[in-house]
Amino acid sequence: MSEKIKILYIDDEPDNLTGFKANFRTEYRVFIAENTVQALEHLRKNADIRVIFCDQRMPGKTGVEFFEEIRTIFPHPIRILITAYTDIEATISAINRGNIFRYIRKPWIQQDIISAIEEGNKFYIANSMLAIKNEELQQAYTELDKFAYSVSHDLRGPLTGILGAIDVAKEMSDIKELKELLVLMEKSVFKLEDYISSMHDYYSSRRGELKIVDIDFNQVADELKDVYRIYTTTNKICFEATVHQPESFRSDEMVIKMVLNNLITNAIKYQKKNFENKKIELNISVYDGLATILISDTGIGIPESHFDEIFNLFSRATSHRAGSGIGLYNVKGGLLKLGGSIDVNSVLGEGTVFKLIIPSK
Amino acid sequence: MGLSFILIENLEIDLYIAHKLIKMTMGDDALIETFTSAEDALDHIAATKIKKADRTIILLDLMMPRLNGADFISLFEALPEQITDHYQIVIVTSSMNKAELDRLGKKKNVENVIAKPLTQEKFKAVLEQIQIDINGK
Repeated sequence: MSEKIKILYIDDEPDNLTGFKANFRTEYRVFIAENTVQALEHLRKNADIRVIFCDQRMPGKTGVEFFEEIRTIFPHPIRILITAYTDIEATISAINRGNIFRYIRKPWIQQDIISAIEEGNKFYIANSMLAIKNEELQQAYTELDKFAYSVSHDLRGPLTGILGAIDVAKEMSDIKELKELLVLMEKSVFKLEDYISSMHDYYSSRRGELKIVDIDFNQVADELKDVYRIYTTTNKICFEATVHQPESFRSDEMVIKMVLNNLITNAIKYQKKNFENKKIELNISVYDGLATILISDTGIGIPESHFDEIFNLFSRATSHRAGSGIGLYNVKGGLLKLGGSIDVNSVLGEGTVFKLIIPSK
Repeated sequence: MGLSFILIENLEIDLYIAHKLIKMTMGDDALIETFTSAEDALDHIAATKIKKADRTIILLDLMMPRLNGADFISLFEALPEQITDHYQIVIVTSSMNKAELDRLGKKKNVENVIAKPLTQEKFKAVLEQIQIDINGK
């Protein structure tokens, strides 16, 4: 274990405190307190104290009373009472009410204390894991709720659009109008297709293990240019990529490509409609084991008030373009897995710059 | 009678369909205004001077980014009654959230809730329910 377990011992007799500390200081990080006021001070400053020992007989407040009091304020540390036989009734009742984890008889022997710390620590870890799992579960539920919403909006939406279009088309005889409708139906199909592939990204990026390989960013940039050539030429967008990689870089290539694909697709999708000099720049440089990637575009931009929320699941900053609200969420999730970070800077109506920093693994 | 329609819908295809259906049902000279953002529609409604005989049907989508349909209704309800009395809202949605739809369906200015896709049949049924004569059909 890299760090010593933190324990706190409360006793009104200074000799006991000194003895306790001398006995256990090599194995554990020991905090001592002569009274409950000092004890509370320690607890406030050290949120990660795992086990608390408290003497039952103290002037002013008994150990049981103290534990009962701190149980709600500091619920995580494991509470152990140190007591003589004469206090057995109070001890049993405290155990039964859940205020203490176990008790140690006075005078204590070293082995009892060590075993209490080890058992208490196990219990503490199990409880903490449970709390973390609960939080993860809560997050999964929240995402599921959002997913249910998105099923009706992003999956049913395009489908009902197509169904509606078919209904209208049955009544139309003008070929020109029908073709107009077909273009709209095609867009709906693309949107659906887009959504399904981003859902796929979402689940594979959440569950998959990382596969670390050497990454040649020159090759990655060339591939991206090839993939997007058809979109950039038909939309008259100038796509420039510069790569400066004097050293090797290791990371998960699939995740990096997923991240770049999402950001470049966005840069294409959110260009200003009737703008002459549409441009997307991709700039990658690798120094000291860090890849810095800049993706800038001359697009519609993102209002500053939305900077924080654009990476949230199903968040949409604009109502005017197709989008599922999953792309940037996947980007952020992917970067998190790689230990990287993302920053956005944007001026409404001028363009957006995403800055990524990814450490080599 | 000053009958007109307002369409509030962020999906291009659904907007096109609703527009087409109104023309097919009410004739080519039907008055239709379209909005892809509920905020713009609300601004428009608040700023429009109304004549006594005016009557406007709003076809409203619910799931829209930024101001959604439900929030639109709340803001709309806050407008003076002299304005809101001239409008009837018909919700057109692909939402499957029954509780939410029931809640919105009971609102004073909401006449009906239609499940997408909007079809001629459904549209005509709603017009009939709110007693609008279908021109020439």
